[in-house]
Amino acid sequence: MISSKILGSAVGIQYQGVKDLSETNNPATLTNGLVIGKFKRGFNKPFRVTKENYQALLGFDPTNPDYLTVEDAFNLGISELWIMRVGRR
Amino acid sequence: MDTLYIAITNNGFTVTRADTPSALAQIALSGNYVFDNNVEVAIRVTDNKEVAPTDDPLNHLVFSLTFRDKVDGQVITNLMGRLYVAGGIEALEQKYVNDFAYITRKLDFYGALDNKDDFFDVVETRYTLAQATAIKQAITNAGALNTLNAYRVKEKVLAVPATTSNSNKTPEQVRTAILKILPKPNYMVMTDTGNLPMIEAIAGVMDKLNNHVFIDAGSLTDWKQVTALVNSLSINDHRLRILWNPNKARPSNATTILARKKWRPCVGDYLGKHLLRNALLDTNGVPPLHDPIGGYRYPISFVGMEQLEGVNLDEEAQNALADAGVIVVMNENFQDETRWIYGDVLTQYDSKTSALRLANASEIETFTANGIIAIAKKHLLSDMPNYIDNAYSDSQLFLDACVSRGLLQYSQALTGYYSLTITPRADKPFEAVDIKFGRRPTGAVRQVYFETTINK
Repeated sequence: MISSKILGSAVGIQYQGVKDLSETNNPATLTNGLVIGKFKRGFNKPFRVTKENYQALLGFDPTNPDYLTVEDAFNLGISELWIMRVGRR
Repeated sequence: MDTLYIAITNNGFTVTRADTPSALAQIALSGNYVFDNNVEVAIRVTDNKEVAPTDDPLNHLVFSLTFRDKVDGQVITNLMGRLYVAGGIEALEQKYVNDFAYITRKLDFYGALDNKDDFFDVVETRYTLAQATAIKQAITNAGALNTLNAYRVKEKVLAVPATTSNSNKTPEQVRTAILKILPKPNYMVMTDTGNLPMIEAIAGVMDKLNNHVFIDAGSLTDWKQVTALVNSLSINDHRLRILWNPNKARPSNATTILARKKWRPCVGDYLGKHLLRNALLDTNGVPPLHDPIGGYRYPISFVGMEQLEGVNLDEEAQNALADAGVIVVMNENFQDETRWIYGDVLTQYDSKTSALRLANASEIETFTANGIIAIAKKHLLSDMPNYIDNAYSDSQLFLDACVSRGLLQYSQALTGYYSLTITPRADKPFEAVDIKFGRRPTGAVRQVYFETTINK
């Protein structure tokens, strides 16, 4: 007896693995924020920063409105933000 | 991509932006990170006393590179690994086919798997085989060689030269880059109102992604300037909001009372409040979008807030700002307390009566539309009867969840909370369907007409 994905003429069982019908449709989450601005340093493409590393990755810059925007958002307790750095300040 | 070279010569370590062909050993780090002048790298080398193979005699020296801020010492990234003779990851892959562990211990392994979280995209090391002893001596002389488990740590700290190439992005580059972000951003924030082409590019992205944009009007003190600015932007779209914070506050990380009060933008706080509110999903996974961010329940907690000198928010100013659809941060009196609040919930939609001029109705509109679009897309390329059945039942579940959350209200025009039909198109009945969707979003109260009498 054989177990195969495509049964020939031998005695056996055809089984192609489980078909997953358990997935549900979830509404999209709306917790993805993006700050577009000028920063002292940062990646040359969109990147994510967290509450812990934004100061290191962007460079502490208390007179820069874009930096203050990121700081204010993290002060409220959110966990991460996307940054699009458009140039040096 | 820019490359940073850490070279070891007989005189010690150097960090440069140019290749040093005469170096005894060199680590080349390439990536997209733009460095400023405030970064330093701390180099630490540890001899771990392992036996190194003769064709890779420095395999017992473990390099630790820590990139950090010169001023506050915050660590930007660190790498730890060993040098390889030459050829980078390609050479390692060829030579150590069955010894993956050997490859992963090399500095060259950083970035080799092309992860999206890689700090450096390519790291390539090289050293002259015959100079192995000289290299070790040079590291010792430079004061960076540590013995295993040593009590005192020796490291060499060097300044990282700033990235010289022009890293400014054109609006078109920004547009393409943002469109590639996954998952797509739900809110985009800007504080630079001086760059009109950039704002137009962002508005284009907003239109494409069907999300929301918050723009900060900046540290202006005259409401006439703010309304003039809004007029010059003239983006008549309900997904755009303009905010103005004519106030100053102490820095948020001020530890002493002496920290001077300065203007700061309010869009960061506004964005954060939106993200926090949106995280409050109900059991169906629907966020409370019907609850607009503004007013008494969402106070701004900047430290020691005070209006900027020369700001006048009288009746004329407030009416003009509301006409321009500007959300102003102001101090309001509530019974026996005052609070700094977002004083409105208006979008930039140009209408006196439309639901879309209200922030919450606008967010409900995009959320429901994006939800139905996502469902319609998910079931695409399936057979016609199944498509109609599945897309309809998924949409119905989603919209019923929105209704029970309070996002949609009963509509006389639709005689229900929403209307949804999915039917094959008459002109292309085998391959196209029509989806028609109507709903009535929840509004927000901005005005009260109060009448009172005293009676005999």
